[in-house]
Amino acid sequence: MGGVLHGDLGESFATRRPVGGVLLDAMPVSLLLGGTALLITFVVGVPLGIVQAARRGRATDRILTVMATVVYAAPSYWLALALVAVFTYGAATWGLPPALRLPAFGMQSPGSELHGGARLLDIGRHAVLPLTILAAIGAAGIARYARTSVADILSQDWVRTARAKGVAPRRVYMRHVLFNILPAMVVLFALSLPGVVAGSIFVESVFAWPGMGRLMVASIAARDYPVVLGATIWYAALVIFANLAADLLLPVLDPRRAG
Amino acid sequence: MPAERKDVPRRLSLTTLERVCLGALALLAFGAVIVPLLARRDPLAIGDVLSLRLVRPFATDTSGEFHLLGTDRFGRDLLVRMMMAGRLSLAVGVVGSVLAAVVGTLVGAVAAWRGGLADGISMAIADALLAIPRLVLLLVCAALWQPGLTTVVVVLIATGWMGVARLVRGEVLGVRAQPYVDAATALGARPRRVLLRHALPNALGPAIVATTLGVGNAILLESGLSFLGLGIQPPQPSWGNMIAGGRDLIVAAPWVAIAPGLALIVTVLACTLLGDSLRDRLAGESGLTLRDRA
Repeated sequence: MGGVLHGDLGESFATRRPVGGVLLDAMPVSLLLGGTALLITFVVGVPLGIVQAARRGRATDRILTVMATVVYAAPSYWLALALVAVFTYGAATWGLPPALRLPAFGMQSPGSELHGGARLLDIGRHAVLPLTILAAIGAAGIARYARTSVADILSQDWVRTARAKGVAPRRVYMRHVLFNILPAMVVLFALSLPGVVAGSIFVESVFAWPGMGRLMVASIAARDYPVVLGATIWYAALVIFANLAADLLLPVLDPRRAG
Repeated sequence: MPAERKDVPRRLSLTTLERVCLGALALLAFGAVIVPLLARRDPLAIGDVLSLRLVRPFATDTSGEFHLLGTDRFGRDLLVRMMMAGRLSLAVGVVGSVLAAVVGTLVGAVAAWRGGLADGISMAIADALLAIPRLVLLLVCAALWQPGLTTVVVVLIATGWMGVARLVRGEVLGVRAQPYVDAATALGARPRRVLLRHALPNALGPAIVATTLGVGNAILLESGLSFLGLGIQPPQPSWGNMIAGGRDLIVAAPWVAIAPGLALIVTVLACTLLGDSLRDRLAGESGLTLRDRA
């Protein structure tokens, strides 16, 4: 117990390596996957939410809402298997162009000695399928959130004022609406990161992505308790840091909260 | 003859969406009860594997039996297994989230009512557990015990009570300051009676909504655990372990994984949409009570 407080998490039963080192290998890989997925999530989800709020109650809004709800209810590992079937096996069987034949296993091609740009490209190709799943599920949630906040802002006095003084609709959305939901979205980003990293447990285990999730599942199967407990502590630390970051960011982004 | 109140609808009128969701769940529950009873072969037993395995959907096997959804790699009928899995998934989802809500309500109510040390300790535990993502907590708990049905339910309760506890605590603290609580105490009701008869019923709205919304989530978590091999163990079917069983057949026999996945999506979707509409209904109601209180 005293060791834990000093950052010493013990030794892995399975590999005889210090748990801290094992986690240090896995955490950046998961953060890379989760962080990128979250970035795509917001880049896709926030505009979708704005579009939905602008077209509230009309066909576009309804179709997007239905799609988001269905994606949100689908288990990620099942969607992952479906993508693997289409883009890995299917693409090879149907003779799709090589750009659409995506690898479904690991983070890099096995035994490859690639360096620099080629290596990055290789990792990128391996990341496409897991990122698609994580981002689609995340965007479904974020769009729902953004839709509510934007609809809220659109009913404010100053949006009516902006429209009344003849501001072009596009500028109303870009300048008045987007700027006002930005602080909430940045905070949401910080708060979502641990959830996405934890949520990638299934996706990592389907795609054999060598991150925290796969490590966790493999360690549980191997009864490697020091690693399981160490990973849990790291996940909890991630949540606490994300909360702290959100608390510190909010006054910087939103002058009204600075007081 | 009692006077009819015009502002209260006599029958609960449902929207089309709610009817569809309820219908889907009812159909699924009915199928889950009936279909395994009508099965000609034991859905757990492995029979003549070579002649029966991986029969396509809508096809008849060599012994002349029709399989609506085909068979799996051991020649077991997928429809029957899917419905058996539905029994487990629905039961685990409902029992898991309802019991978690009961535990959460008790903890939250006692914490708010007693205050002091009980409040401090229980909320500290809740906050500490809330700091760990639920999926991670679920995996750790599942790792500590023998995987199986009981473990899944216990783990869902152990990782699901905190949210409800916080909600109920907040509500009870609010209700506690109401004049009718003082009135009940002044009339000589014991603290326990005041809490159970007067305070709690007025504090349960948000907890009920959270529980309803939690059912879909609990079903997803159960199937996720089973998919990873930490939940319901084969040969006992669960949607999660059926998908896991179809994982390496995704090209040769995609129907093995597709059918349970669709069942899962429909169930979770129906539960979520029903929870949403319940929240909207109760939100309207509590808006009314808030105005009444003011």
